[in-house]
Amino acid sequence: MFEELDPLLHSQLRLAVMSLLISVREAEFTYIKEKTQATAGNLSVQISKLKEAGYIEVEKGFKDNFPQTLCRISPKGIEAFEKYVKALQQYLNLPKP
Amino acid sequence: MENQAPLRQEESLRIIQQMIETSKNSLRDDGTLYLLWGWLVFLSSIGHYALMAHTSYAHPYMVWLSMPLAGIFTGIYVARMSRKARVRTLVDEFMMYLWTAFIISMISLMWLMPKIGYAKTFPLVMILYAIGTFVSGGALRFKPLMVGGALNWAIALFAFYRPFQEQLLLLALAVACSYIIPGHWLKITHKKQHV
Repeated sequence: MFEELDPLLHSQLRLAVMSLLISVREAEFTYIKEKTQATAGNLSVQISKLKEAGYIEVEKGFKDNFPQTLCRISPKGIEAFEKYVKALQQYLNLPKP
Repeated sequence: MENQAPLRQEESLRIIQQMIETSKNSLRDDGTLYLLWGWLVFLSSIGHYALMAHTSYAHPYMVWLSMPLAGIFTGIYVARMSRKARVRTLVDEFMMYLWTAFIISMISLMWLMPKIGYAKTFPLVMILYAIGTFVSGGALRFKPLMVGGALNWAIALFAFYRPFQEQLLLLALAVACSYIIPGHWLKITHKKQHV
């Protein structure tokens, strides 16, 4: 029986954001924008969706008088990401590590 | 990356791999602090030795007064770099804890120097260098630092049995192995990765 792929993660940009955040402690919005090559508007919308789901934490502040948005993955987000990867392995029939 | 169409599973896997790849494998340390401390300790220990062996100057240890100044510079440099950084990795955080522990241990050792005895302090300093550089090399996956650090353990063991004056030269050799050579190497590697 195949597990269903989390629809929240099964989207190109949201999955990219989560994959990026899983491998770092925290990252600035501008860093994520650069690495995913997304537009600020779209990235902002997708980050809000991930935040609403509790998958990431977003901290807004200031750095050198400029607004700064810091994102980090939450424990719930790590769990969801791991579940997504497991489900993906089932679909692709990969042996589990 | 604007496409919101449903993903194929293979594509998901490619995105995950690509994003993880993009945030790793990049050497973020450019070796500046290794070079600053390496050259400073190298010149100070040689200076201390030269003043001790070839002059009648009563306070040859004064050369080490450059250390607190370098400490202030390091504090400012690290604060500026962390302000500039747009991402913080697990390795960054690990290195921060490692070098904080190193600095506290080093200050404790200097504080205890009269109690431990001058002839034992420098070999202990070399052991601390070995820990700092070997572990950093492992975390950064940068072999020259690991090899340099490991050599410091050997030099420290040898230095324990040598007189103080000779230990000064051994200290210079130790920092050349663990800081100066890997520091220059790190700078070159970093430059190559960030052109």
